Amino acid sequence: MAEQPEIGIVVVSYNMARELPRTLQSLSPDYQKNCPPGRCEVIVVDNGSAEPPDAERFASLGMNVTVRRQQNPGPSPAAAVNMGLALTRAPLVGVWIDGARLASPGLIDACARAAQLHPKPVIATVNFHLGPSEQYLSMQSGYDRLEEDRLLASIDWPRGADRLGEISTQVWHGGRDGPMLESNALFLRRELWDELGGYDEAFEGPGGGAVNIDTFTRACESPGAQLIVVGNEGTYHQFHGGTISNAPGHAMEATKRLAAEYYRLRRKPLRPVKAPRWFFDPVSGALDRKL
Amino acid sequence: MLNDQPPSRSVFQEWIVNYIASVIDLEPEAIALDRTFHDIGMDSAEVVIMTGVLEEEFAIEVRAELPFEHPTIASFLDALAEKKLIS
Repeated sequence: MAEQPEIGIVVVSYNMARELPRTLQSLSPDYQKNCPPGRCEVIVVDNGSAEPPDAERFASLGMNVTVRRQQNPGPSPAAAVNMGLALTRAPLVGVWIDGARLASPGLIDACARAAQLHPKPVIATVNFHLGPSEQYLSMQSGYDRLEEDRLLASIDWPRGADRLGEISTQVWHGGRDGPMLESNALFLRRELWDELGGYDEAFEGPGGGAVNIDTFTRACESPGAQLIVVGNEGTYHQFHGGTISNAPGHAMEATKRLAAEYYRLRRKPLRPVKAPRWFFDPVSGALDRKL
Repeated sequence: MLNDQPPSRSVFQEWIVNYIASVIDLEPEAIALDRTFHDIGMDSAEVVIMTGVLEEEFAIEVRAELPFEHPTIASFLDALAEKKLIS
């Protein structure tokens, strides 16, 4: 039996034939710093793609990738996430609820180091959209997959992955300085995932907008938990027709619906997390506990 | 299922003032009905979230754009009244 990996990453995919291979490449040992083969395993759970991803396609990435299909896929990715959480063997688990998100090249190691700073850490990373503005805005000015491909080529990605910030935009309540609404690469220890019961499958909204926020909020509210935001790393959303990120003209309606669903299930308004956070700078190793 | 009887303007006004006060950590008395949501301190996302919450709270349907087209509490209430969503 293979040695237990230190880190598990659950990635949910849905009709991401263009984006998922890039996302997985961004998690691979050749791309990630200080993340040799065996340190991390990746569980891809496909949530009903017309053409599900094939594990063989990712064999060349040099990492342990498992691909599973959610047998009864619904609009919400919550059950797919939970399937992935049940499959991973690692003590530290990160969730990519949106498989179209590229990781920055130091993200995995930074999150693992941050997790060692507290016995019950909630490790959050900053959220970006590729492109000149949030994609539901930029696409109204012509931003599309071709333009995104051109942008990535302009920084020579993946070799130029350290320059992703140059071609991206931080999203609202994305996490660096102000109250944080969610993390699209959320790392918790296995024990906290178990305590939360994973993602709450009562949330049925498409794309996971409300359930991702709910999970992040519940993790931060768990007694004794400490939010640690990892700086200088993040996830970068590729254009793929997402429920809110790529929804011009109805992004507000979609946000309104997820706010309504959250209120219906939790009986409190959806709010960014304002709890005191720690800020971890993986470059210097400094930990700022004053934020 | 939507309510047969729309909420009264006074009830709705009290709710929205208290909601905004809780979001931006102000006393309800400090919320002016004739100031824009933005000037009160609500960002656009918070206004959209508020719209979703009030839909659930009052079992009514409100277009997400409506509070942006009528960006004060008073004008928003007028618009809701005109659409007979409040009485």
